[in-house]
Amino acid sequence: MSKIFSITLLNFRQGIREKTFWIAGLFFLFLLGFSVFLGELSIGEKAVVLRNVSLSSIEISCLLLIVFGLVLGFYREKDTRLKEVYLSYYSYANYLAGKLIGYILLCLIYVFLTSLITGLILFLNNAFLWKFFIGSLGIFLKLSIFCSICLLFSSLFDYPLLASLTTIFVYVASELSYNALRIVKISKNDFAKVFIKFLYHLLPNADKIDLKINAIYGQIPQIWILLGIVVYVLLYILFSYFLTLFIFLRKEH
Amino acid sequence: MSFTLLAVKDLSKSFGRFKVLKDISLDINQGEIFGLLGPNGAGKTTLIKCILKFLKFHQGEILYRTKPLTFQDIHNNFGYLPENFLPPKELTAKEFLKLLGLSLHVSVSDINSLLKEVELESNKKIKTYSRGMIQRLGIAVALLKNPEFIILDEPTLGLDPVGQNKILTLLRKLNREGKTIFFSSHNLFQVQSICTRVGIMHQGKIKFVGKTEDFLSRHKVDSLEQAFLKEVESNE
Repeated sequence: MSKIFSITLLNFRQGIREKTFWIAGLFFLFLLGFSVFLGELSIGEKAVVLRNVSLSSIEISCLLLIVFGLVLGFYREKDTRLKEVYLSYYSYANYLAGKLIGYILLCLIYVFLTSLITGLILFLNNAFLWKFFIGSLGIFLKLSIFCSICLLFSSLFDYPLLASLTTIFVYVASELSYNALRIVKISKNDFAKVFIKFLYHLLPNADKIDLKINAIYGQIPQIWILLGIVVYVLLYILFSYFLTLFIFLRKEH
Repeated sequence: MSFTLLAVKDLSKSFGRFKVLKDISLDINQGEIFGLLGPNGAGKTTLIKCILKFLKFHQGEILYRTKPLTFQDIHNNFGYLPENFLPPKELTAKEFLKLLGLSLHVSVSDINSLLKEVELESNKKIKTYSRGMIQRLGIAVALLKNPEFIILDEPTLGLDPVGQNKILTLLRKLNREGKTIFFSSHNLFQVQSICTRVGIMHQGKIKFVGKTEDFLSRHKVDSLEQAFLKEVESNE
């Protein structure tokens, strides 16, 4: 356990001092400024629009942090032969677990800090609700899954660009898969129905994890729904982790 | 009394159809400095990666203290410095060693004395370090778990003469303290100056394993450079 903790802290501390972390933060501030502007334009719906766009800003900027910061960090470790040094210290399973937890921790800190800033902006614009933080929790849980998917693709592909693009692709696909499922329900093509259903279950179910709507309208989901989401996220991360380990053990380093 | 610490037996490795290592056999004795010499592309790094189990080999075996080498042996007893190693540049040397040594329960005073041994300032960020300082930090990383066997891949590559000398002095000191050192290089002068025994590698094969003097007398020359060139030319 201490070995996992060691690699987690190494990844976390390095990640938080990387320029990518702060660039993602600056991008978030830009998006937040844009959300304030949109709020001003939306007469009568200012608070709702402000909450909606600012939560999306947290999600998009954190996704960029994962896709660029974490993927590039993984490949940099390979290029600088740091990975070999770590693998002479830790087992493959510990190395991957430590990296994954480090990434998730980084994601948590990022979502926490950006949520605090957003909370302040909402407060100054009379749009603040405590229930807003439920949306941040949903974003963190959803993006934790994408941390594990990002690690999976980084282990699978030899090129960082490919790992980044596939992570973005899976994110978009998981956001749209519920709509695809609804559309295909009225189709008469059985193969398309089965195929889309399979894809929907294989991809992270973003529609079920997303708590943004609850946060925007100030609703608290029932506790069993929250627990269900947490269990789903943990199971999905475990599934991705074991798949990553399977790939990692078969690869040469 | 020294004994065989690590034995590589008939090891072969291919990348696709290209055979990179061809029936490599060599023994490394406890307490010696073993230099693996060879031109670029001879297969030195591939052999090191096979020893550390980063690469899978198709044939042969590696024994550690007469038993098949395990990952546990590597994690507990092997220190490793790869070629062109670059640690996380946003951390300080002390932070990096402290976090790396967290699972080994290494104390802060141990880390301070280790940094003193490799002559490094502990509170400066790694990104301010020169190449020589990074190599010395790499050696500190290899020494952190107090291993009995240290593998160094081209430890003096890209260093100025002063930097090279510092590394060689450090290796001699570690060897006097009882560490077994295996290092690859294509700098013949360095190998001649510090190694107990050498292995000459060319085109994926081991051409010679033994004492430097034996290699010189085999080619009837005075310097390792001449002997090495003769060996390489005779194989081309």
